[in-house]
Amino acid sequence: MNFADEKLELRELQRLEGHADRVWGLAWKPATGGDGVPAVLASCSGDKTVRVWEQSPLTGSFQCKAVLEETHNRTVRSCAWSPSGKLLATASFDATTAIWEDVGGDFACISTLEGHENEVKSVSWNASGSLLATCGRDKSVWIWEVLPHNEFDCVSVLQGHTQDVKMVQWHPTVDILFSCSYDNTIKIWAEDGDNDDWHCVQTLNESNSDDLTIKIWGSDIMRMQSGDGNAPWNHLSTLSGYHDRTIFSVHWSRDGIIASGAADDAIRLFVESEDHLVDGPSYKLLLKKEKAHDMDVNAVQWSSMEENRRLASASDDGTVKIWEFAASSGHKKPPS
Amino acid sequence: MMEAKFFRFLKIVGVGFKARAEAEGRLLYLKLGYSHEVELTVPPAVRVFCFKNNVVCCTGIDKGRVHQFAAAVRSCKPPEVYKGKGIMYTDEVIKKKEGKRSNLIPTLHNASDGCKGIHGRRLPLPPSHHSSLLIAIKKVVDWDIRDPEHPYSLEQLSVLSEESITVDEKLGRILITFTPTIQHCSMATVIGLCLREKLKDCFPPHFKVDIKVAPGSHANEESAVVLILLYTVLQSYPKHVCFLSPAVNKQLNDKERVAAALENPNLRQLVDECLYSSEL
Repeated sequence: MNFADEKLELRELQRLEGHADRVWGLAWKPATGGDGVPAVLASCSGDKTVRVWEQSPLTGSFQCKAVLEETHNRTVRSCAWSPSGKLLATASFDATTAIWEDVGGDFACISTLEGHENEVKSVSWNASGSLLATCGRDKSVWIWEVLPHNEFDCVSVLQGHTQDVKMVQWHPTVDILFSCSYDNTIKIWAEDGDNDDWHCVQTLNESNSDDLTIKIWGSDIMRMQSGDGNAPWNHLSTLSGYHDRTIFSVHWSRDGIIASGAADDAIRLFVESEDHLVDGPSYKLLLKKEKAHDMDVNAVQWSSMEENRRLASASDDGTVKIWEFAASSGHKKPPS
Repeated sequence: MMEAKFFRFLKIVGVGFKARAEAEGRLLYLKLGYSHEVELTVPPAVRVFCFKNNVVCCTGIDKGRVHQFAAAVRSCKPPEVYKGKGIMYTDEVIKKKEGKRSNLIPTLHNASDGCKGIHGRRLPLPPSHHSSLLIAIKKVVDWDIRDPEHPYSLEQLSVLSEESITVDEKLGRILITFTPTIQHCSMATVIGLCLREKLKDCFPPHFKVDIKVAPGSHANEESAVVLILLYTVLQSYPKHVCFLSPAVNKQLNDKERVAAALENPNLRQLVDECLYSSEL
């Protein structure tokens, strides 16, 4: 995709209001937004609720379809849909993770995962939806197994980080788990054999890590997919000098655009640059959307819709915005 | 049937300071911002009554005992000379002293002058914007943090001075550096939390705040975390605990940590009391 040819812009499509406090996170529902299925988005907030927004097929605008409340009694920090889209997991500062199911338009809390000693900061489903991971300020990462009849069982409690664990994320195809912590390290966890023995296979430790840079890491995908969970991850590239305030969120689109949301209220887009002056990939700033929100941007996520490049962003200003990254009007998008 | 009764009235000045009488006036409990309530046993032949929870009446038939007990109550928290907070006789006049007010905001001249702002830089701003910013900064500097051991303003204690505030108007940023003095190092984290909340009130919402703690003398990484937890149950303030400034800085500037800490009602209450103590 050649981004140099066309004048591209990040155009605000809609501003979703409704939350009464800052919006910490959001998640696009998988398998929606194409093939006649309207796009669905979940957002979670300091107002202790989660809102589910659905795009109307007629008008194209998003409406609040459901408000998931009266379950968490503190901030809901993170939300994630299972890969099938059937379940929604919400992680809260109240030390619990709730699992919700869409029952004919109404969301019901079918399970509550307890075990963390204090605030749960992040939740993530693995590629097949058979496992769920949560992490929190208690420095631990918990792996849960999804059993029949909406049962969840804790498979492993991973200790290893020396400070709060801020985020967990599964690899998109292989069952390896990444966790990043306040102790400035990222740990990679894999299962030894098939006996629920999860352990840390690698620790990524960059000495001058700060919250103003983005780092890209890579691994040997062939080795990993052949079952070797120990294929090492190497640091490939650093994007520095682009942000002067904390980066809260990054997300990679299917066609290789990295979006970042930061504490300067801006959204930035990066792509791999053509110049190969350095070893490994290098990235350049494609676009900076200043004042994307009135306050800090806490989360950005590309939708997995094939056709349009849609981006959702969540902010301290209590709103969620839907953006389209496309050629600005007046320019025709060349066939790719 | 009582004969001539003697009275001594005391008033308690200070937000959050309260008195309560129990056991028919034989026990007096005082909330004076210490970690524990002060309990006083009223001597025989004396009784106490409380009005509106900040006026204490000592009464009895023995003048000496009544006056002596009133003096004992007063000595629990004698009035301090800067703001007049504490326990005093209702007819007592507190001679207040001017706090350290040197190099504070200069008087505003004509708009055309452009006033001398922070660090002596000329700030070419429209007067209304300028003066409200200066007033906001003055409020922060004058603000009296409610530390029961040291009920003075931050500036008086040299914890925070004007030189340590930098305002970048164009970018809408404020950087405050505060130096925890030995007496205050145990409250560094709470001071930081309070500063952040106070600034939200004083400055327009689009201003971003960074708080840095200048280096203290000793290092104790864990104590900052422990301190937040300790404050949540309002235990006695840990004494002689100083902080490694990078660790405290990292926490104070970690939005998620701060948000989670402030959801704790006890800590929220402590922060709120610190914030509003100056608004008597």
